[in-house]
Amino acid sequence: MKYETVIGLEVHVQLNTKTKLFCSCSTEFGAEPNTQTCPVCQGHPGVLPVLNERVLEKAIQAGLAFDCSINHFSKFDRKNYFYPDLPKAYQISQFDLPICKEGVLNIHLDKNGSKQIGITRIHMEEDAGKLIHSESSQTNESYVDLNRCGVPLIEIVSEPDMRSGEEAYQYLTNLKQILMYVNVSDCNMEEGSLRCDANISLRPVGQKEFGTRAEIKNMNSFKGVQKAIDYEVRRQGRLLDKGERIVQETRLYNVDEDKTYSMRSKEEAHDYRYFPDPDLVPIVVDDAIIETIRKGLPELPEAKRTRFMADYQLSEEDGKVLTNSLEVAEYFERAVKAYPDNPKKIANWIMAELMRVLNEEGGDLGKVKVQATEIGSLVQHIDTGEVSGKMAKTIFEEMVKTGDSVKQIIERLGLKQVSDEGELNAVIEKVIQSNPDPVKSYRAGKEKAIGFLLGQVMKATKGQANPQVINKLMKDALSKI
Amino acid sequence: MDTLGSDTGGSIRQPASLCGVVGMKPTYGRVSRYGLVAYSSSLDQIGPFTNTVEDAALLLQVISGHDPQDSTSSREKIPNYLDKIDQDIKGKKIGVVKEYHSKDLAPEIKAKVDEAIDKLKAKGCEIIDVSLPHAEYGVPVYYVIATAEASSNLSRFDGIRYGQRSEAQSLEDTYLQSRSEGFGPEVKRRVILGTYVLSSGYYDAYYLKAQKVRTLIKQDFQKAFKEVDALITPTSPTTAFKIGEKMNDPLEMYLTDIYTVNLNLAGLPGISIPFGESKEGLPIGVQLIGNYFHEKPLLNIAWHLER
Repeated sequence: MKYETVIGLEVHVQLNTKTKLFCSCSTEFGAEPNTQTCPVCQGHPGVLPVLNERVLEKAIQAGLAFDCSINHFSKFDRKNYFYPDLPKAYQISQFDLPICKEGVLNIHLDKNGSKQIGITRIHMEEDAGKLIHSESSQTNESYVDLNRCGVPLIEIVSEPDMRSGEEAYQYLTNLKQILMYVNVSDCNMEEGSLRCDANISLRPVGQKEFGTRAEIKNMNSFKGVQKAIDYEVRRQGRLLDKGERIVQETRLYNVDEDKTYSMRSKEEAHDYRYFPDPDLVPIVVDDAIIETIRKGLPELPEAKRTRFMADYQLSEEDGKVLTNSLEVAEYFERAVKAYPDNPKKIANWIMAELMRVLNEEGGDLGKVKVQATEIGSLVQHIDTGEVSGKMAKTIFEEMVKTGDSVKQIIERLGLKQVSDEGELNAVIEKVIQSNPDPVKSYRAGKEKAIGFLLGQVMKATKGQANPQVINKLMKDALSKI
Repeated sequence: MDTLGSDTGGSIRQPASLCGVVGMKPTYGRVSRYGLVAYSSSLDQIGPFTNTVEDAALLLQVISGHDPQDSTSSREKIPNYLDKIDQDIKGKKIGVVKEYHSKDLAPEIKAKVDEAIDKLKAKGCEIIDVSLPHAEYGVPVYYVIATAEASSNLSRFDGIRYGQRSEAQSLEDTYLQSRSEGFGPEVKRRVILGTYVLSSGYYDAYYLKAQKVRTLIKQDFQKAFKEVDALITPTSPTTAFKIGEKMNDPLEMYLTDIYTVNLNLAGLPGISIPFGESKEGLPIGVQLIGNYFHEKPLLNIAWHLER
């Protein structure tokens, strides 16, 4: 039978605030275990949580970036369960009144153009600690690191609008891009600041009701999410074909085997006994606050891409590449601001040369020494004929190494291109006089012979002659003989 | 001699009444709860135990105010509680709660409350009958909400980070044994009750329903305070009982909170003042209830009753 795949994603994103959700401990990643804790995040008896307002602000920023409506009245609830990484034995989260609801995210698909994926809700919650199990199996000990305990998260829940692993991959890619644009998270999956669970079910094509779903956890890359979904689609399809029932359960993805394994069934699922946290007051957000935050939002990737295409006559592909990260987009615009006459050529330099260097630096633009304004300047020097394309490459490599300006490098390396016709004509005359044979060949119709003569001019000018200019002057001079 | 107590359903006023001292529960949010091991977060409030009303005013002065570490603490201005504590109370309107002041009330205690009412009348107060129609639901509502919150607040005592740890083979057994051995029977009873009322399938029928009735109780008081400055009630339905006497009948023990719990549910301030003794020589207290943040007028009336 033919099945339609139905996918909804739950994404946990660690917000990049300096301090935790309910105390002033640092959120810095990678510190010594239990050095970034206090009585509040350790859940000492007698302590109380106090909301970090920056978290609320960032959650609203994220919501607005996905076109969510913001709940004017929202609250925190307790999710009760026992686990050693949760010292209070409840997680402070949001249950029935999340801060944001009903948003959208557009994804672009090669085959089918674009598609809107609904966002059900975004809520705030605190992260739990981390268990470290001893490596030797004899000691059988586990240790608790509470540094992550109380770190602020938002959980972004999508509608079951995705139909393939590829769509899920695109959704995650765009989600991350937007979150990075609005600067609410570094979205570093390796450090756990972005985590994704997928709900997957199949239904016969044409059927309206959803099939029974399985929840897949433990994917540590976007490609991993895609592959886990693809596997799960095959697994559920096989079962349904055999007339078997899908069990509603949580399954773990094993990346090495590219398979999912049952973790717990719904019957064993927790009853979290959610109820409003009486230690915190309701969150009341008025329109004025929402509008202030909305005004502070940066231009989002889609709008930026459209504007780049219109303002700088860039192709859709170029627009996409340049707006992929906010940093590169801003770099491009700084370069264009320095030299507004040829954005297309600036775009090419950034996409070809700068991106290569950026990749070599592990994607960290801060480590790239070449200044954006100097890319503008370099293109300007090419356009005015002051440097040749070949010289420009040399200058660029020098900028990569030193971070110096185009002017400094030209001066230091003596790279100025000679375009002055008087100066160049004198050289050409000498070359013609001392190379009678090639001149004769050229005049006899062997046009290729001009290459040798131009080479001689380049040699005489130490490569600084403007090739277009000498090409023209040489032809003129030869025709006059 | 002054000391502090925490009052969730009457644990300051009730013992103060039974022991013949002054006990006060301020408005919810008047005093920070930071540092108080939470039992029921939406009901708990710290307050003074003192020998005199003046001492209660002095101590309240010290402990009141907003605490940045407690989001539920109030920024409401703090008056000088001792200033003019003795001022005339002539013309004050005092409400007598119909539902409390009935024939069911132990005669000895009723007699004392009546005596207190007469005293206020003599000082020029106007006595008005008021009704709190939902007051009778206070105890069941209280035991649903308080135990629900307690079941969550006490869950951190699981033997991992806090509380007694019993050595067991698995994580689950560690939890089960630690909590079975570490908690006493009354705490277990409350944790089980609280867990039950929050469970999926029972939440609406118990916890949510209790919260709705809590709102009705609050509204009863708000209506009453449109007519009166304070309410006068007994503090406890009985005089002091013997140690352990009621341990085997938790329901009867829960019912001793009948006059005190509604204030916690509504978040209102109340004060218990010693007002004579029973035939056996056991202290009897009367309770005054005020509107939100009306601790000062409450202390003023209490000061007159004390004399």
